[in-house]
Amino acid sequence: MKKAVMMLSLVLALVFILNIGYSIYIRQSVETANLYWGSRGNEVIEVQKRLKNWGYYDGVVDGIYGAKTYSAVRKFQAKNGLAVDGVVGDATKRALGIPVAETKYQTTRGASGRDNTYLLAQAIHGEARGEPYIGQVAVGAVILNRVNHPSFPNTIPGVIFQPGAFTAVSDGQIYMNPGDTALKAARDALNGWDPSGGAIYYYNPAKTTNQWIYSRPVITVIGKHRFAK
Amino acid sequence: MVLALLILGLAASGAWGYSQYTQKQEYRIFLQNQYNRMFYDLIDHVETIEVDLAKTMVTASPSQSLILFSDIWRQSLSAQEKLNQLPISHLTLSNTSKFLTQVGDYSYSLTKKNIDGTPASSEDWDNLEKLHNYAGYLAVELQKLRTEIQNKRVNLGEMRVEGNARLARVSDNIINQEFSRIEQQLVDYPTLIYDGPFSEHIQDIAPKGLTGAGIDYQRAVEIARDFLKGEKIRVVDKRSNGNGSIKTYGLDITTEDGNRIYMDISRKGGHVVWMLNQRDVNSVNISPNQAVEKAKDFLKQNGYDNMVPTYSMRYDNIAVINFAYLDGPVVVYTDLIKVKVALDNGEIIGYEAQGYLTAHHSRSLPEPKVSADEARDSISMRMDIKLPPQLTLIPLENKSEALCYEFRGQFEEDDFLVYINALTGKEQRILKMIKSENGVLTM
Repeated sequence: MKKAVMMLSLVLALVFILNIGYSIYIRQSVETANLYWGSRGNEVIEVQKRLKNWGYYDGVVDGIYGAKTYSAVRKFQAKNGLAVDGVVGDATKRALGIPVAETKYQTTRGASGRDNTYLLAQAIHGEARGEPYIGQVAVGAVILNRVNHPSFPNTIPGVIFQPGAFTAVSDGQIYMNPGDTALKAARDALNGWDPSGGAIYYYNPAKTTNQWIYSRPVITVIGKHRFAK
Repeated sequence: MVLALLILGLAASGAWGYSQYTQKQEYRIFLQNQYNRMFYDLIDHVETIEVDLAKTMVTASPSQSLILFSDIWRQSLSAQEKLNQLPISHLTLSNTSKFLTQVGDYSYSLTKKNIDGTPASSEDWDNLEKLHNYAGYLAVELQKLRTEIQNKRVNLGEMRVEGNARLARVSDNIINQEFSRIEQQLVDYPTLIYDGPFSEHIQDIAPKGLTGAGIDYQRAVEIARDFLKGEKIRVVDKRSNGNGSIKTYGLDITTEDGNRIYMDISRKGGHVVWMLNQRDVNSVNISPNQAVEKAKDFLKQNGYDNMVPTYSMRYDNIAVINFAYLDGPVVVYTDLIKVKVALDNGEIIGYEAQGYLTAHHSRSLPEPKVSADEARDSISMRMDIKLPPQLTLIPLENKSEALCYEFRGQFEEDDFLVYINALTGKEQRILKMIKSENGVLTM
């Protein structure tokens, strides 16, 4: 009977130990790169360097997480309001200024379309700043019509920077600061207002010598510009 | 003494001139290197396109043709991109550029066909054969041009025009002439009509929403005055007629306080195509909801009763509200009208109905073959959906329309719209909603 109890408690103890082992294993596989007593490697070097620079650590920077590193980490954690456990986890890494790999899905933040609005406004300003307001919107619309046309590049920057396509790009006038009007015109064009009636070309007859462009059917005239397809 | 100074000055200016010269030479070579790289890459892409198109002729495996078509897609877009960075007039390049765009776009549409299990039609095979031959022609001509560049007969970086030292001016040089010659042969490649945004039919879609009889200019002026009821109009000037896909009268209106309002009114039916009021809005006195109500009322006054607001943008103290036509229970996104509301006094300062006038017609919408619950099962487990779906008609890339259930949902903190085709149960499209200070953007 006694033996049986002994056996049982031994088995239970084993199960318990295994369990802990397993849960440690799970923890490690989730939070991969925690550093603690016994860790080695480049990341430990990074930690030691920083702690040394800031006067928490006076041992050698050898990449081995030993007693001195351990107490330095604890000191650092205590000073910085972190949980004092001697383990360098994500929070401690951040406090140390070591980049933490974010594996979790992050909310999308890169997409805005704002750059294209500004570039379009610059092109409008450079090409048509003296024109009536809808003449400016129309120039923006022509650029966008080109983006959707097979004969032209498929992006706004592609169309604007196509060599020789726009005089204001060729002579650098595009790099002027676009005024509020050009920005407003760019937004209207991007929102779908198209006073050009679907044109992909425009030209000022007073300044254009290219004969071919005169052969294109004119859709409309706004200010000094003829808009054609 | 004076002589010494003169010599010194001469030497200094000579040194300066020389450094200018070498610097210019460096820029020149740098540019030429860039252009050469583009040109060599271009030839490589076109060669690969020809070879890939040849391979599609003999493959019997759907997965292999999938790989080939996606490679053609990739190669042609890269080729097109490089072509359009060369210092050659875009007027000269338009056919070659169009050829490359359409080959790529067409291959992409065949990729999609392939995935859906639809085999390429005999017409498709016909097109592919012809496109293969044209790709071959283009490759050979580009190689000839390369030899000429190597033999220094043609210089890619040479962009100067006589008497004009402007660097970036694209000239009528030999390479331009060569390209116009190449282009002439490319004119007759087959007209490609397929399921993609650059298909030939997209460029000339006839508007469906232009109901009514033709009107004269006087009538257009009356319509304009009626449309701008709240404005004190001083004078209406005639602007150029519009000869785009919708034929219009152009009107420039000046108000009593000197403000300009521009309008285009269709010659058939007298519909307002668009209106833009130039005035700046400097304060905000009404809420976004009030703006939506103002816009709704405005549409009602002008005879558009069945319009529902779908989404809105806010910038420069104005709100742009999109309205879609409501056909029974179905939100028809193609029939789109945009209304711009000034947030200072709620005045309507912009209107755009090109979408509505192009797409709207009386449709006999099919009954869904898939129930809302069945459609729900097609949605990813990862998406969190709280509301029942909305039946919608959405525009596809080739300008056709598809009846879809629209599901609004979240993944983590991000918002999405997922469209499940109500006839096939297929996931048709995903839009990602991006919230910014200006409103919600969909991508």
